[in-house]
Amino acid sequence: MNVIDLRQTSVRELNQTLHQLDGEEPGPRWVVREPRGAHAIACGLRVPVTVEIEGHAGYYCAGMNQLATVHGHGNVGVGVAENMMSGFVHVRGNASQSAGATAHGGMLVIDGDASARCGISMKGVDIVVKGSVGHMSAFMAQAGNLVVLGDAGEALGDSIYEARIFVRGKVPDLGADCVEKTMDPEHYALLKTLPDRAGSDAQPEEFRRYGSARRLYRFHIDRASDY
Amino acid sequence: MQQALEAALHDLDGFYTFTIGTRDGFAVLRDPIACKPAVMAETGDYVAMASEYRSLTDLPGIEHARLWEPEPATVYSWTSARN
Repeated sequence: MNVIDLRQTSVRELNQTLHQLDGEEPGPRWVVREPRGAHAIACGLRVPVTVEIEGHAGYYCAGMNQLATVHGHGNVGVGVAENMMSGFVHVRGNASQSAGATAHGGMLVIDGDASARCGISMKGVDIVVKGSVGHMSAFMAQAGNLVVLGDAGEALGDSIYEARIFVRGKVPDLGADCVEKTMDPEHYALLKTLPDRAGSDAQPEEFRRYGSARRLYRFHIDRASDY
Repeated sequence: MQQALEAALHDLDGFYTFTIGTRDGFAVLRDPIACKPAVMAETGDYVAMASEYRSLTDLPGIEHARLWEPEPATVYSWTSARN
């Protein structure tokens, strides 16, 4: 186990050390102490290393992640795991706005709540939020799965493309072009695995699915004058 | 103050997150879109607001404070217990 104390070491030094790992072997865990809300902790990792952040992290924690596993043992600021390509990011506390923004792959798990615009413009990531999500979550979401065990905020899935949203709790209202959709066998199969991988025993039957009505982003010649 | 801030929600245009302090009170308000960041910390002794957690890290007892984000278009106000 390697321990880095951010009272003694800068975030830049921490990240450069992690970037220089060759990734041939899993290697020891890296433990980050005293994060005190610092920004960009464990950003841009490209190897299958495990990083544990012991406290609250700031903006863009584990951003651009590839292959690495990052555990945040506290809250995280805006844009956790933004633009993640692969790997696994687990937040034990709450996440601020734009969690998993634009992320292409990998898995983001938030044990607490995520605030506004969770999964904004997501492009393939799997996001599981065990609490609730704030307003305009999955805004312009293009691909991937957003699974919410709690409630959604207002304007869920506004201007959504082809991402799938599953909510177990209440949905106060849906954003433009977002509609409730049927739960098909493939969706039950998906919900057999995603909550389980996130450490939850939520059952597929408890969820409702939301997605695009495809009236907003698909070009129809008959509606050319509307665009 | 509660009333004034509820009126502000109708009167103000644009993006904002702000806090107001008066002699005996304190309030926080965000616009309905809530792009501008905000985080609150509450303990038995104080309520604090900042744009990010990093700014609050030197407050006493912050490790055990309840941390949360104010909702959009919602007026939060507190009055000092000393008054």
